[in-house]
Amino acid sequence: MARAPAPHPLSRNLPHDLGGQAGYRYDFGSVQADEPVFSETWHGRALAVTIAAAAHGKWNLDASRHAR
Amino acid sequence: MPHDHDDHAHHLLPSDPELKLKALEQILLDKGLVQAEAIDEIIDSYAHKIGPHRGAELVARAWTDIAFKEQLFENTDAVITEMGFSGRQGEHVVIVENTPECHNLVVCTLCSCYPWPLLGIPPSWYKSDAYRSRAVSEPRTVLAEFGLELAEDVSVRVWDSTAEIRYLVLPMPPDEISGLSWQDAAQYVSRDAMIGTAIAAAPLPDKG
Repeated sequence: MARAPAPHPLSRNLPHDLGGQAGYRYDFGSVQADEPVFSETWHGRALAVTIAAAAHGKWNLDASRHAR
Repeated sequence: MPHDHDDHAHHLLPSDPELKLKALEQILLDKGLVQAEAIDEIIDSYAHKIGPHRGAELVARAWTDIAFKEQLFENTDAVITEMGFSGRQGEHVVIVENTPECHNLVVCTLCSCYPWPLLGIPPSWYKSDAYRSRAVSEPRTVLAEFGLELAEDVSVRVWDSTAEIRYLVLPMPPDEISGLSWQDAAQYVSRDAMIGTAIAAAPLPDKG
């Protein structure tokens, strides 16, 4: 019997298709209503560095998701 | 110089991801691949300029100006562009209107797609595994946890965002906004009401 081809690295069942999956519990009643935009200063820097570097077009959205 | 304490772990060093970020940023700066001014400008934009007040303006104007609302539904992207609210992560926006019969809820099961130019950076719960999975499988329970109990005869429609299309909920106007200017009506529009985990309501008192 022919073997199935190896899946493309990006086709694995990564945690990017969570819709309806069971097993993720969290009580949204405990969500912090006035969460700051950046809860740590470096979070804003990480976002900005990512956006600025993305201008070079070296990765697309799928690669970006895969890296998270 | 050694800097040890017996009684507590000291925090002079930044956290591990913060250190990695500093290193990466420095390399990119040294190589001329990013500019320090650009980084500062991006941070300032998302910290202070781009946020839910933009979406609230859009909603409040739709509530208070029927011609604007018609335009908004007819040609959403053009209206948003005219308002100066187009941009990254919001190139194609679909407005979904709540009615007495149907409540809309927005999620991104794939990652965290969100209408950035209208709402800013998504809150951490929007990006959580739990929200992304449960908003689809048990939206009413999720809404109840957010404090929104919907009557059984109100249907719930869940919109799964994509890389191309971002959704914004147009909440039902509360009675109190009758006769108000859009500027005043906008105070009744919260970020969560435009995601769909809340309804439009009187603003919370300012904490000062």
